[in-house]
Amino acid sequence: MPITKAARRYATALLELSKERNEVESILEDIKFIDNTLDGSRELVVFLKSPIIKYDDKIKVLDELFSSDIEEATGLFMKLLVKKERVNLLDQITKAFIEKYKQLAGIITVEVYVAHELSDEQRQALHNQLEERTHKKVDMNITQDESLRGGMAVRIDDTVIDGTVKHKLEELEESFLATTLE
Amino acid sequence: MSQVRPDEVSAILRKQLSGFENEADVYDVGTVLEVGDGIARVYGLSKVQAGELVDLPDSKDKDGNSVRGMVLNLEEDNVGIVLFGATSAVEEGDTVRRTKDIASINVGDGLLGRVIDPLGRPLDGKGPISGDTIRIPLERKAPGVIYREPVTEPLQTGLKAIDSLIPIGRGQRELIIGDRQTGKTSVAVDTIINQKETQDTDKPVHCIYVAVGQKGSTVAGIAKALEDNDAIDYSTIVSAPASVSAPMRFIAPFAGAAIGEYFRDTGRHALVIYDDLSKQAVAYRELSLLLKRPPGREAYPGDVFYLHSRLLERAAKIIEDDDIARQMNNVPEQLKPMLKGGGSLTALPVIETQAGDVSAYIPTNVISITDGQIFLDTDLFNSGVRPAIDVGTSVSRVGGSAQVKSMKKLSGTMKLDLAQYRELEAFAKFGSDLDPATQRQLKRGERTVELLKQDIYQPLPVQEQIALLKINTEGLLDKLDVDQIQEFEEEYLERVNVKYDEEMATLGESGKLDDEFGDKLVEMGKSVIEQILATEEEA
Repeated sequence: MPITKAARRYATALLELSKERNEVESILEDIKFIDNTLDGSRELVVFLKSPIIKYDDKIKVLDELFSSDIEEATGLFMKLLVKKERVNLLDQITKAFIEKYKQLAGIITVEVYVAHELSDEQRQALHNQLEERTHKKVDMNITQDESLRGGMAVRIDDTVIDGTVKHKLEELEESFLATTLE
Repeated sequence: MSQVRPDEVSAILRKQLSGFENEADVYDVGTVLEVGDGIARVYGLSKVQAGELVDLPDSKDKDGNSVRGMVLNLEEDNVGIVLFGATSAVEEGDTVRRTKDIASINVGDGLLGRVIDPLGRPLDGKGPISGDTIRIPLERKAPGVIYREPVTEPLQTGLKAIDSLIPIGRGQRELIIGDRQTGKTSVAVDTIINQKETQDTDKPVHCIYVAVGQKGSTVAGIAKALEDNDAIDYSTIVSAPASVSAPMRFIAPFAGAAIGEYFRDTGRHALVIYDDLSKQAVAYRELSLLLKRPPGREAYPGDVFYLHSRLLERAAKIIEDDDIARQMNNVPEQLKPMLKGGGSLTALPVIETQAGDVSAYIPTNVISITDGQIFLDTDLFNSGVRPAIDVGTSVSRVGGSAQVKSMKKLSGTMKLDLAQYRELEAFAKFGSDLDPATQRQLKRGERTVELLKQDIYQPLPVQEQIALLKINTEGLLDKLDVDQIQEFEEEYLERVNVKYDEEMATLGESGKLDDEFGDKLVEMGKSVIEQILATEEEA
């Protein structure tokens, strides 16, 4: 699911605010905490998105869930979202915030697809190589997929560097099909 | 039992695999967000170019081929693509891959005699396109002014009414416009058939017929007509019938133009027929509305004028000078070594009007873009004047300078005759109450109209047209009844062709009718007329 413009704007605003208050790190922790909670509980997402539930109830629930663990600013931000009827975007806003923060800190997320589990050394070697190549701090997100058969694919932004056996086989099939036509 | 030896099999396999490198492949991807009605919105693909082809490897159609698409909209957070294949095969979340290839078509001489779809895939079951092909982008900027020349050579349609009154030159853009069922396609197909004459000369005209949004049966009928008249060997049919998706109908004319440009830029002559552009505009409107581009007049998008103007600008006469032609703008790399001057691309776009309304949006646009129009009229068609060309509203703005000399001389008086006839036509019912001068003019007009009638798929070579017009200009036909004109035409042409075989051939080549041969033709005409009148009296 892509992140909507509104979510991006709220996330940018929150980031600016946290910079002003010198609370970037702590607010980031809060947001990650909320993001994890939302990812873990579909019920909560549905509850927040529901247009039927009154915002007083939403505030109460959010208060009860988070208020003890988060900064005051984050709590107020969520209340604002509820009042502006944007709390349905909370999951997107948290994602956008993390994305924005990474941009600010010069961290890129790289999706890595492998057929078999990587050993720690391999992981470290890949991490070093990627950082060297991109000149940025790399945050690896490893997905294991048996259907790739072997090799690995790396996705940086929209660009895929594909060295999987699956892709090789597909290419081979294509080249065979192309030659039979002649 | 015979079999291929195993070592032979492995040798071939090894050969196939030899080019197979063990390097990682780098490509850009995106994800389908939403899909429907031949349109998909894609998240990602941040480096994609407008007009680029994309591949959807996850979405296989029922033949197992992956669906392809073309990028039309680049927006802030998503990319709008049009799908060329089955929309039903594409699902939300499917991967979209860049091909780094702007929408293109493979062209070569092997396309002649074939029926293809707008992406260059053969549809006639005759196997893959033979011979060398080069890849040309569908959208290409028209040649600049330096690389063009005024239209000077005629493109004979073989239709008396057009070649005499609305002549078309090579490199011209002449619109064929009229209601449904007025014979627009027949004019176009006749023109293709008449190019058979040019195939033995040093300047043959290659033809491309682009069918956009036509009935499948119509396209099949045209292919059959071309085959029956031995015209398919120098023609290509680009078929995007009503059953294919809107993107295909939208790009079909561009594919036709790209094929035509291949001939034009290699110093040859080509004729492309877009049948018809109103259906292409409708397909483009469909795409634009689905892509949420703002609608304008008649709900067409704002750039529908540019859609047709950039297409028709590609028809051109290229300068004879090879050195200048070789510097032509926007030439694809593969075509560069083959560049030659002196080629031409003539375009005959077709527009269908509703109830004769030429002031609708698309007709006015295309009329203003083209160098003239052939207007076909329902009333004329129904009263038996076929081709139903309305000579009064039809014009050719540049063809005059390309017309054969003697034809120009003869048709000058004919135009006048017809103009006067139309003015007096309303009085025709008064019959004998009119003064003799008026009666004479009416008589002449009626016979001229009759003489310009012509059956479908029977184009006349230019020398025969000149021979006929000569008789008409001399006023000899006034002696005959209107219903005897047809008989005269057949008899006269047969005799002339037999008796003055050589002179006719020279006339066809030079286009000059000297007085001596002119007199001979008049004599021949007189004798045929006398014979017809004599047999009538006997009967």
